[in-house]
Amino acid sequence: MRNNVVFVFAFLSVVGLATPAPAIELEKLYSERPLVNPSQSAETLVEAAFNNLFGFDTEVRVETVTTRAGAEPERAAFCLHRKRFQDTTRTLVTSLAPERVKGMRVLEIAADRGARRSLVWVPSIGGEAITTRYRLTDPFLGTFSDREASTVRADLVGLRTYEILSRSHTDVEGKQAHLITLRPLASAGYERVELVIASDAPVILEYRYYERGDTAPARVARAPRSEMYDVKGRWLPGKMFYRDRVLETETEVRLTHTLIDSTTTPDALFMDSSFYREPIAGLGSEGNPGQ
Amino acid sequence: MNARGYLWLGFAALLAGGCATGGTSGDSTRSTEISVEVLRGVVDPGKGALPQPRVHVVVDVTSLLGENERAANAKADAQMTLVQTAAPAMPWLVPGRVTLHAFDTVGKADKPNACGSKQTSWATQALTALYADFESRGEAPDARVLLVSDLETECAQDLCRAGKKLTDRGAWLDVVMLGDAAVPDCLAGLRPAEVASPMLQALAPTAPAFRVEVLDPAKPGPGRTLANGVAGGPAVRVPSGLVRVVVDVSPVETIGPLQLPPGGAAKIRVMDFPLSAPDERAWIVELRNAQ
Repeated sequence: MRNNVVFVFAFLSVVGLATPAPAIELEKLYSERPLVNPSQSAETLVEAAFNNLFGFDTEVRVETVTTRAGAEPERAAFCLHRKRFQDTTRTLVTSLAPERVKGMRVLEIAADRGARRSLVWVPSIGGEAITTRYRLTDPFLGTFSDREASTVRADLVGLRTYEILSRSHTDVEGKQAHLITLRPLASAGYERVELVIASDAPVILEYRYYERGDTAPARVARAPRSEMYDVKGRWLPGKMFYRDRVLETETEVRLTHTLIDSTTTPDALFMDSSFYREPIAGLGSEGNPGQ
Repeated sequence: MNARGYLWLGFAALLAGGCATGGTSGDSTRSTEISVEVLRGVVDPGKGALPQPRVHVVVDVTSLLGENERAANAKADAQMTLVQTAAPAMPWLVPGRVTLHAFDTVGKADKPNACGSKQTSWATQALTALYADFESRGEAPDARVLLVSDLETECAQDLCRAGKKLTDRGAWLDVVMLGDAAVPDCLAGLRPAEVASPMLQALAPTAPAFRVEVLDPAKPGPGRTLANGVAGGPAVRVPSGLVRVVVDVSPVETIGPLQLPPGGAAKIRVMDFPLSAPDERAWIVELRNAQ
């Protein structure tokens, strides 16, 4: 399965902020907002946390540095655009580094009813975009995989993309938090994930990914409170930390979020026939594929 | 469970029978069995704003230890006994979180007493002494007493009389049997008197009902009910698919969404803390696929 994961784009967050506000305590931000009710169901808590991360149109610049013992650090960068349309969510990933993938664009169109398809455009090949079976395995994991398409009935996927198998609590950074186990209904790059959601805000502080049969997580992603920023009423991670037990790597991820709309980012950037032609402001030559 | 120190007290759902109603019959290869179990406990004293029950564990060591051991250090022996014998039956019971009563051997009988004799047996003495202690110290009526015993040398009538004095005073009396003997009817039937506080009523071993709802794509709220059941009762059978399970604890706990596998089974275990904040509660789903 690991061989199928071709990119580990840890974009994990999808929101917007031009100038991050200083990090403050979550409860200060949310003290007047009854967003987290202790009696809320696990499903509601998860939905609120996902909405905090993904519930709006965004551009995210992501830089990653991956280290492993005895090897040079690997640096990567990409830009992610995500926009909600009438019955689809469209996500465009534009690679910025390393050099071998610079300028490559992948557009994924995820329909509300479960269908999902991807198109890729490679600068060195040029021409038109082609359909690829690589797809984003999970919106908050941020990996691409060529795993077989889900065997889950499409009508079920359209209702929910996951099931919830447990709810308990834990302490993270000295504060109480919800611990909720999700299992994706469609095949993904993992068998299940434990989400640690703050009890004082709809914020995911930790992701623990398990592969089948694992008793310890194969991969853990942390989003510390100290690295969270207020983005127009949402808490978004400015920095995240991954530890992959299987690959024996550690990755630091820096994220810069910018809110987008049709005035800042044309819809053509998300269309099948034009996503690879549209220039992206602020990206230099790699953001202008036609030049 | 985390390190917050929960103390489990009840086998609530285990005590409760009940029957499922409204279960959907049909082809077992295309449907799924769902059962629910609810355990109840109280949070470790000092962790919440709600009143904390006082818990008194009375351990009957008479038939488990030799004469010398009894004479040497009854309390230490009783603690060991609690750990070694009672703990497997009550894995949530944390020695040291409770007031442990182990009485000396004065007046102990090694053989069954004639009912009404002046020489009462150990457990009867213990409950009588506990009652006197409550009275002398002005112990609040909502104490909880766990009697751990094989009741081997007891006169049931005397024991029940002693137990009833406690429950008439407002205490809750549970009996954890060592060995195969059954709890005498007169003890099993004891329940808190009317003076018992709402706190103890909250711990009353009534079995919560639950219902299984289908996830309805047409509306976001509660879905159509597929089946009704009772925690601790028989499993209900529903069509496989995406559902939620709503358990009638206070406040209501909504579990899921769950993708029920055809021909499989789902067992839901809810660990409830009726006297604490709702988010102290925990639950887990055990799914068994038929394939």
